[in-house]
Amino acid sequence: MLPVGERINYDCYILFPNHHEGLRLHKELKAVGIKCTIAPPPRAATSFCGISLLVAEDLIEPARQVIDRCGVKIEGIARIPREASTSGGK
Amino acid sequence: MDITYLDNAATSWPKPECVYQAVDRFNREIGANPGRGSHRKTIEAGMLLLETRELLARLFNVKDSSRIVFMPNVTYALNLGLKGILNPGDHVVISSMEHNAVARPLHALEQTGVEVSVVQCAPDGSLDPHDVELAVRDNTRMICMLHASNLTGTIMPVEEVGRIARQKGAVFLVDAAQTAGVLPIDVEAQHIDLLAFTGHKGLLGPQGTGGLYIRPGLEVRSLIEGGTGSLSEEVSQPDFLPDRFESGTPNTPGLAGLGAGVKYLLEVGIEKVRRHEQELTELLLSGLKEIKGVTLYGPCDSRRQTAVVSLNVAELDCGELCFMLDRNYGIISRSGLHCSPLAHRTIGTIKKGACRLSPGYFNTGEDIEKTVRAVAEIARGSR
Repeated sequence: MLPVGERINYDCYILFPNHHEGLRLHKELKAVGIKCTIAPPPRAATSFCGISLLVAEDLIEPARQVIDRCGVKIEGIARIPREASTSGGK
Repeated sequence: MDITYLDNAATSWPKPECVYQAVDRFNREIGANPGRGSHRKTIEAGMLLLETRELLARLFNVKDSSRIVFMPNVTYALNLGLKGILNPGDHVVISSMEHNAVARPLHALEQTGVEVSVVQCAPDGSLDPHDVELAVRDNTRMICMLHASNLTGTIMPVEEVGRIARQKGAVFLVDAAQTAGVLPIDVEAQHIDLLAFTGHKGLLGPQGTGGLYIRPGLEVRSLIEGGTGSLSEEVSQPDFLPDRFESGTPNTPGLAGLGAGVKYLLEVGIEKVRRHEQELTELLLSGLKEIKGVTLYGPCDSRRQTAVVSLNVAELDCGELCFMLDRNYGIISRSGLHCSPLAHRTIGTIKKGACRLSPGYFNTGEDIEKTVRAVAEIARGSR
């Protein structure tokens, strides 16, 4: 249990139906300066054996705007508590 | 002997240097599967496919690049477009200039109950769009037509026929084997629902590359199922593109080369390519017209045809003519029926065939002058 007042940190994984959409969003986010990292998707979140984009929690909203503007197809956004994540969120 | 390559309607050659480099770089430095896993090499390979798809989307005015699916060549793309759409009882309209890449799959489909109407073209290969309109029936599901003939170069009225297809509610499938990279193609303005293209001709890419654009909302059956790297726990094929039609490891080195070819074309500009090829065609036509004994086919007007000129010399066998051009002058041409018996019937050469000369962007005026001189010498000798 977390001490009172301590915030849980999450890693946010943007999930995709395929590589095409994931790489497309990676390119678009980079173009507008939103930091993201290509990472394996958490198995608990999807059966896609490809890529997801790891994005800091506070950048999810700006990333959503890019997703909407560019019409990138995503499967969802998985929020995984950082301590349970294997990628570390950095 | 210097080689003059005039068989660009079959495969363009040489390629821009960047195409060779892209293929080599992939094989030496990347080499991995695209679309599988998430390691750095698969990302690099996947990026190459994405870039090639997006470049093609720009070239054809396709808004969503995922609607372009890669295939080994235009024949596969046409088979998918035809067999993935047509059902027994459906009717399809084609022109009498179609290649066997359309005629043979349709012949196979006729055995299953698909009905085919062939609109007769003029002896120069040209098509009156009104004749297409007259051929449309209540059960017409598709109009399928090449953009330009591989035999005569005749440019077809794609936009007008596309408008007819849209008005009649028929799917419009265009075979752009001879025109992608050579003539402007705009899937929106030309009302194209399915665009089949090959990578190794006008797009200046390597052999073994091509694809099909599929309009959003158009349901096409997949002919091949298998691993896509997506929805891996499902036994059913993904329903989203491009995965639905791209099972198995693609020709990534080839597609990297195709991307480099398309990028090169976009930088040079299709208009410049077209202008140069038109000048070469004009030079070739005007030179050949002066030679006694030469019969030319097609429009014989560089504005109405691509850089394809077919001919015969008096009673000389067309194979003999091509052989003499090759052996005695180093000029590479193509004889026979060009996999287009329908077109040869249309222009009246089904029995004798023809010799086809097809210059490309990298040919020069000197190449054409050398060819005209060679044909003139052969014609003098055959009299």
